[in-house]
Amino acid sequence: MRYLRLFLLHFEFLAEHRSRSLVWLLISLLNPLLLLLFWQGAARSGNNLSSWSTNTISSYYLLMVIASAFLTAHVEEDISKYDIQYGGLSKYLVRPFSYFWLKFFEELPFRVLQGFYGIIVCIGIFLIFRNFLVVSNNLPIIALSLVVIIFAYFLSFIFKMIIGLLAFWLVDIGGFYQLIEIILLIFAGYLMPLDLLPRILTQVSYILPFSYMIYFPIVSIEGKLDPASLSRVIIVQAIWLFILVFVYKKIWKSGLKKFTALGQ
Amino acid sequence: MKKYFKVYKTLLQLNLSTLTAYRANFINSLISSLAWGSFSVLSVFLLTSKTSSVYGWSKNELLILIGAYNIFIGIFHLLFSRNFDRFSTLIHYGQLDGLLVKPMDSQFLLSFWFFNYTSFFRILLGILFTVYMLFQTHQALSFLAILGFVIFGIIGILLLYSVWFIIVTFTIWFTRLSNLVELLYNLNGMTRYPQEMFRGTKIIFFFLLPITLALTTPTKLLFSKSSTSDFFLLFIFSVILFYISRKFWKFALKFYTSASS
Repeated sequence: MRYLRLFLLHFEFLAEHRSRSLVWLLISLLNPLLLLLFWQGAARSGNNLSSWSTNTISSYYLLMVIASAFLTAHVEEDISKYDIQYGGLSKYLVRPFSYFWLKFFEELPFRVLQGFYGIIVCIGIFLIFRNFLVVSNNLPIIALSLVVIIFAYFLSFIFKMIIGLLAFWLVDIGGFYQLIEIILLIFAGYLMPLDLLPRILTQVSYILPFSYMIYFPIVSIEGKLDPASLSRVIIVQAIWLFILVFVYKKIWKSGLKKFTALGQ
Repeated sequence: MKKYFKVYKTLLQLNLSTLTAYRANFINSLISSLAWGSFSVLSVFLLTSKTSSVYGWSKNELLILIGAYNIFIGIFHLLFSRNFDRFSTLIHYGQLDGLLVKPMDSQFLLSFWFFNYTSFFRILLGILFTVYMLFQTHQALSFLAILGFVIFGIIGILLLYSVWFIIVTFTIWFTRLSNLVELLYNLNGMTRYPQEMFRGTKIIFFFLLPITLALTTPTKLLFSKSSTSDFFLLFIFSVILFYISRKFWKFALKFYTSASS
């Protein structure tokens, strides 16, 4: 219950940041829409896009707007800069809550609001341009997709937590973050549907955890996967979740010993 | 005018000493500059791996465009982007005062204070890649085409600069919008797509037109695809937007409250 309080408290904080939030939304909108235009042209020029049609690929990027707003946690910079480098972590440590869950409920309101904005914008785009939004109408598939989406959010959140905590060891972390971002752009499916990548990259991306944060939630809600492959996705997600939680715990424990509260 | 050149020379020297003083910072910015440069090239390779032509642009032409994009955006980052990065901090904490009291044009000081030497590597990468692609496609280039490419590239960069300056000027009123710059970086990313791509966006196209012209127009010169109207439009937009950026900045300064200084 007390975590619910925290969650609501941070919603108030969010209200102060409405305008900033709007700019973030525009940012998360821009790239998917550019790529959407690109692929529409590609499909129209008569290129062979295997299982993708103009409609399904358009709806892939429309759903990407929602997914990237709702499922991409942005905690890493807060953690590395304000909590670890400037020593803000101390104020979390003295509170009777777990750092992990505090961060979780700080971040969630942002994701809910952004996701909500994203949905509104997508409906708007849908109404203006009449790109067909392809969403599955099969109830079991939707139910399984919801599980995929929830797991995806946890995967993305824990991954970003781990990246943030690396600041315990790496002082100048800016360049490293840029590299991570580029890896995500390619292997999470931000750039293009993963099955359109060259074969070898597709296979690599299915092994790495990133595709299970963005790509699979989108294709599963689009109804491109049957229940059997959906269950396979959920199993892989569970395995990655298990691994990442383990890594997080290890890093948190040994990092805390290094923490000097510099700047406090 | 002479005074400005002298000041800029001093600024360049100062920037060089910061570069050598903060070496870790240099490495970081080098990594990110080269990483984004390579990513932009790689992304076009990936996007075109299943497509032969898009909006009348062949795969090779798209690759030449991305090479040119890296050259021009590299120059943009070299000269301007770090100055824009600190814009909202300057205004939010009232540090703009320090620039305003100097006996020089405030827009000049704001735009040219920092010089990002690491971008040279990205420009070099862009030039090498573009030349390589031109050789690959056996493109015969006249001297005039290269000259036009350079001149209209500069005009395109001026256009991007003006758009950036106009938009960040809004932080005088909305000091918390430090993420506007982030949006502008993404806006720059639009220039790496063919201009024809935006024709279908109806009303939005009207607003995007200047930006979409900025880098595609000079690049088209390299494979003689350009139309005269494009050059004309790019030139006009560039001049008008630059004029607006100056006027708007002067106007906005009247509302600068110098809070917290």
